[in-house]
Amino acid sequence: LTDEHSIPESGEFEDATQTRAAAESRARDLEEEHRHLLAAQQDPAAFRWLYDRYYLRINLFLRGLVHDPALADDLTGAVFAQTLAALPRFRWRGVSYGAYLHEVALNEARGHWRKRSRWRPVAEEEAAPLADTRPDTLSALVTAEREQELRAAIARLGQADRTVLALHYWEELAVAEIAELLDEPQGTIQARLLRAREKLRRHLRQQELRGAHGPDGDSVPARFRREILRRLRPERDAE
Amino acid sequence: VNPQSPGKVFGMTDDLDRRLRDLARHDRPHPDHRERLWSALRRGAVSPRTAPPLLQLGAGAAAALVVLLASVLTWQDVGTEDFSLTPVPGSSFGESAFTHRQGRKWGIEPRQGATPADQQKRAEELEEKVAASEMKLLRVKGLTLGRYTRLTGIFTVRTSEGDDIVSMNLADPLPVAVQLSFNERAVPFWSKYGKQVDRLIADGSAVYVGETQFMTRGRLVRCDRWRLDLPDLGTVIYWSGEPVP
Repeated sequence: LTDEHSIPESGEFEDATQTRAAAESRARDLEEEHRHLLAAQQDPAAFRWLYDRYYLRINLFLRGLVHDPALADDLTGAVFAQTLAALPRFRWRGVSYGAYLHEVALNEARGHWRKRSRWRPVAEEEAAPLADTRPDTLSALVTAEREQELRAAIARLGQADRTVLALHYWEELAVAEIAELLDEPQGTIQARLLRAREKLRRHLRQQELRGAHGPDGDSVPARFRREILRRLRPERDAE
Repeated sequence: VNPQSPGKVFGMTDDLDRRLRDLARHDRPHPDHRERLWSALRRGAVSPRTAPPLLQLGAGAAAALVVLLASVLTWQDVGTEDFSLTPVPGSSFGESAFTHRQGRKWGIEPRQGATPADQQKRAEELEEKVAASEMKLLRVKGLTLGRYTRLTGIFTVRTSEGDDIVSMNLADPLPVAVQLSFNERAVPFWSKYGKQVDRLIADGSAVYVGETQFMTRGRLVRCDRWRLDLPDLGTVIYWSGEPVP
């Protein structure tokens, strides 16, 4: 009767309890979302609760996808405008509203990538929030350069890889949470993350090889030196 | 999955992992953006990029669109870099009403069938009222072309013949980064593109950039900005706003 294999160890009891508690908490969350959604369908002002719950997540997700802060803010606006417009027709299917918002966000980003060639930057607007953010030290310059390299490498990744990186690093979601959001097994997400990082590493290595000598044959230190001199020039002129 | 840190995949704590986390950590929206966006959403100032059919627009939004279209269609052009009116004696008003004297420009809405004498009388009265600051800011419209932004105030002025309208450039201290300039290409903007701008916003082809607030003539003004593509001009930012009550 006391088959030790049939009796879960205390750790397993804990795991099972935790899993059940997490499931119950998720169910309560969904129920609450559903309630707020129904209220928002009656009165759009009640959408505020869902907006507050998902604004930052959607904004961060888009930042991780498009790597342009102003554009990410634009797209966040477009996502919520679209979901607000579609609110009366929205049918609850028992899954998180966040999953739907992420899907809309991804569509918005896809729409942007399709149209990207049509857009040209507008210098003044791209400088928003209107402050001078130029780095003024060599280390800041190096950091900015490295960030730029990384963004360029991410830009070369496919949409699926970018999505999983954006969810993991920008939204700071755990693998299990990404799996739930995308309705995929955890193993698939884990593999996709590893693959995305591998590709990223490869792109960075290629960029490094190309970037050691820039298009005009400059070394990286020479380009830094030139950049610093360029930035110092107005001050020297003023003196 | 790393049991010590459920969000982390084994082998992912190397330099690349740190770089990605650092990059993401610095990539945060402006703290005010959430509130500003919500307020714009509530006012219907943000359009879905895939716009719903016109019929699905609320009655209020449709009415606002009609009013906006009508007002843009009737406007000829804009104003001055300060608030002095310098009409050219004997000139007629309308499209040719913009005077260039010492760089000052101003404009009023032309009236159908008015004689030059009537217009001159009207201009003189308007000049007096504006000099005495007897005017009320109704709307602000503007345009960013390249590095230059020009904002125009549309004012009502109470005259002996009822309310009249004057439009002038806003040259008061504006947000630091807004450079005011008289870009030649901006001059014919409203008459040429006004209707098109509203259409682009209505059909979702314009991208909502954000909201900006600034003080001008002692009033706080809130402006929405859209990014849109126009023939000949390319990408521009269109500003539209009202004084905050």
